[in-house]
Amino acid sequence: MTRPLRSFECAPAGAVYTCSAGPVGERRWWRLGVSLALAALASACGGGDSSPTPPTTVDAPGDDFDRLALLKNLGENIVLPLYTQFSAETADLEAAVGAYCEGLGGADEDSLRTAAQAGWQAAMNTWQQAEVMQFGPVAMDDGAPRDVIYSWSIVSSCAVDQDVNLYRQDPAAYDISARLTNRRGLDALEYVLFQADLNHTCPSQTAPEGWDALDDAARATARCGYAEVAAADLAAQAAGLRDAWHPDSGNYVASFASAEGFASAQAALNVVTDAMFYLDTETKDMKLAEPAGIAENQCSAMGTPCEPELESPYAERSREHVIGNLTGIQRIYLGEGLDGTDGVGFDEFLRALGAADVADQMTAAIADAITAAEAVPGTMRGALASDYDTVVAAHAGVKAITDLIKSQFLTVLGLDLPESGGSDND
Amino acid sequence: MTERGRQRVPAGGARPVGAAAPGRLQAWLERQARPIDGAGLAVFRIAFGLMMSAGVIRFMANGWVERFYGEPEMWFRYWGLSWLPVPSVEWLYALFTVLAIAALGIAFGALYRLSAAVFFVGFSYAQLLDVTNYLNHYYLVCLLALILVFAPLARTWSVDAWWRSRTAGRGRARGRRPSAGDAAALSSAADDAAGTVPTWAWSLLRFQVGVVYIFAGVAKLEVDWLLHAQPLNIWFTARTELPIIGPLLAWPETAYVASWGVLLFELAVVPLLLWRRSRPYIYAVIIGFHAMTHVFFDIGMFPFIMVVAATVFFDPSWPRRLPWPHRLRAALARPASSPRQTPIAPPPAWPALARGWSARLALAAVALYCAAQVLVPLRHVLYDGGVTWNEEGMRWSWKVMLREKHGSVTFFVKPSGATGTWQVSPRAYLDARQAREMAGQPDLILKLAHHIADDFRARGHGDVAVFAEALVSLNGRPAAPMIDPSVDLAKVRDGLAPKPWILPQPDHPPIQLHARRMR
Repeated sequence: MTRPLRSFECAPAGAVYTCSAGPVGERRWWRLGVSLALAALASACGGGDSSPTPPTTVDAPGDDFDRLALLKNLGENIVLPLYTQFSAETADLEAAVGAYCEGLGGADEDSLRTAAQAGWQAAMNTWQQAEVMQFGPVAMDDGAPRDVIYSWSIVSSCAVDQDVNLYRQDPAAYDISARLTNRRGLDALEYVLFQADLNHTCPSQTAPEGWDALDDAARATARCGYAEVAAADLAAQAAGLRDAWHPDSGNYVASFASAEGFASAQAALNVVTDAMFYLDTETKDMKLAEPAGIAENQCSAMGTPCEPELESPYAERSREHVIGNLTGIQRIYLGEGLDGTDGVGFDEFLRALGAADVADQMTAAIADAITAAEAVPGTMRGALASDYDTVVAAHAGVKAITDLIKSQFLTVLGLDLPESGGSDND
Repeated sequence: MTERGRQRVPAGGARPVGAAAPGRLQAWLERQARPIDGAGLAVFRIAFGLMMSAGVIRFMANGWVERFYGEPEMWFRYWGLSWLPVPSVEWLYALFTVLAIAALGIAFGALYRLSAAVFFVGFSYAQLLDVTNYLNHYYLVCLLALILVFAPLARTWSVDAWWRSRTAGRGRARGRRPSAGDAAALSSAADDAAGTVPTWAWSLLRFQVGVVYIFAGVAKLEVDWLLHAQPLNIWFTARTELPIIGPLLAWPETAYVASWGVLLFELAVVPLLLWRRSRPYIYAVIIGFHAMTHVFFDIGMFPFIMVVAATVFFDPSWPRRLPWPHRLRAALARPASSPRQTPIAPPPAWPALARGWSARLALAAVALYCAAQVLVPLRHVLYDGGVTWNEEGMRWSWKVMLREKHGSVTFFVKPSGATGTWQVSPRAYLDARQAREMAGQPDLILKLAHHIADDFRARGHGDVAVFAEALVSLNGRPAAPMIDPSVDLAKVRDGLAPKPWILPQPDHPPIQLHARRMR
């Protein structure tokens, strides 16, 4: 997806993406003259409040509202803290994986493995919130930095098996930064940390060479060694992303807060709402509708579960991922910081425009969807088997949000759908 | 033939086509045949050609060939035009390159008619491949290009005119005498030499441009625009960041002033352009108006096209009256045989035009074209409900900038014998731009429903029923269902008849936004 970031550049530097602010985007000052002409015309004509019928909302305009304040809050209190937390959690994960690998075969192996898995879950919980915030450095190069961290839905356990074997054959020569995204990141780590079966998952044609001849200890050692490399790579990527936003390094947070590189703050906000469409295409359709057989899936099963479509089949965290996505949307919408403070969000934007009822509908729809997702008992796999209706209800809850976003929400805010603005109109 | 009519037969001896018509009509037809200075229309031709060439190059440079023609997996074909072949992106690049060259041919008047014909056919073809590509100004470009095919606008300041004058000079030098069969060529050559064009070409272009403005104004005589200042209220509140003007745009009153101002402008612009005294002033307003639309809205070449197109209302010789430097003024002067200096009587073009069935056919075609231009924009009255909601009669009607429409559409597919349905997202078949266009246009929803049914049948699901849930917000109203969700769209035939499966527009008034304190 091409994002309209014009003056902020990210490029792969070794294994990590580094980002820097470029020159300020061109301001169209020549428009000033035309604007002045309109101002003079409108002033001369005057005008009065002549709406003869009651409008949809009759609320008086709210407090002063500044689009830049919304961007500032999103950047400083939500995105940067989220990336900072994610970076810390991936560092913890790296340490936990290291400890687990060190204790492999020892008495504490199980508890160390559980600790590593918990570290993965913590990092993933945070990342799932960030998934709906794919703007700025993470979205550069068609989202390559994001894919390095989490490449779902392009995942392949066989690809990871092959890289585990590659690492095993020559650890010193193995360079994970040169590998495809579906052999790195959170999805790869999920497989090697949570999949207890040590057999590979490849067809015979692409089976990892020599793997079948290994005993379980050797296989576990190989997977663990690879996991250490993958966890270190993930931590580096996370740190790079945090640094890109951090005031002490890339300082994208300042660029974002001033809409630098965008045609306007409104254009910057449009990038934020573009990112919110993750909820439509990924959360609603891929994470809920396809596994539940609400939409067509690889099982061709209507109204019945399709387990291969589950997002997180090894860690069994599909339900939590959906909740994470919804929580991320709620943070953006309400402007709710990670510390719980209620900052400037899209709800204030709507209220300032006098569209309080739209704001209330969005607030309620998001809360209802979270409630519905939390009502899915146990794991998504288990719920699909025994509490199918709860998954259907969660899907309906998410659809209620996306219906609202795609219709009145975007209209009222004067925003456009993703990828539909780059052409002429009328 | 009436006595009066007979008296008006030109000295050339030809029987005028209006022989049986009343004298006033015949007189009007004769006026349309008279030659006028071609300078004004030559400037229009040059500017149009250059703009089109730039526009086509811009289209390619923006990557829109891939985006509009390469990325979609499914095409919304126009009703009755699904037979049009869809070329590869490579062929389309070749086509657009040819269009850019043809547009330059128009501008320079080089192989003018061929260039205009190629441009008209190629550009129209590209636009007719997918309904979601429809833009009012693309339609206008097609119409203007069509007129250019038949209007001889390359007799002044063109390569063709230069070439003909050169070859004519050689012919004279060789002492060749024209044969009787060269009469038409001689007539044309006389016009070429004089740099004139027949009045009908001028009139037809004026008519076409006038139709755009008038129907754009008439379309705004509706409740949302006049009483609620929508969609300008929504669009203005999204642009309150603009320097100086921004705070003004935050006032709801500004949208009202602009709504009524635009309405008055569009309704009055044609009469004021026709009136010589007001012409310079209204043209200044035209430039200001279209400059503002360019600033506020992404409407591409449209403002430039209209600023150029409005020059057809100027005096035919207007370019010669500009304060050119002395040397240039001499170069731009009319040829000695120009009608202003040497009146030509009888009109040379008319006798040829008036003879035979081909002439009658040509006149009938022009009359039909003009009638269509008037009637097609009014066809929405044949359908119940608001045109901005049901879109029946929306295209080809100059209903510009009338609606802000967003929708969420979900299809439900039920294979025969199945108890449940599959939900299908439009994005499974469409790119984002197509999905956005489809969501507010019922006929496109129907086309996609048919495509989904065909796809499921082809994949072995047997006979399927397709239903649509379309929640649409028009001008900020709460989203309401636009399509009857109980109707199996797979069984509904497309066509021009009213569509009973489109639900009525909600009674709710549009939203009214306040952004006084918005930055």
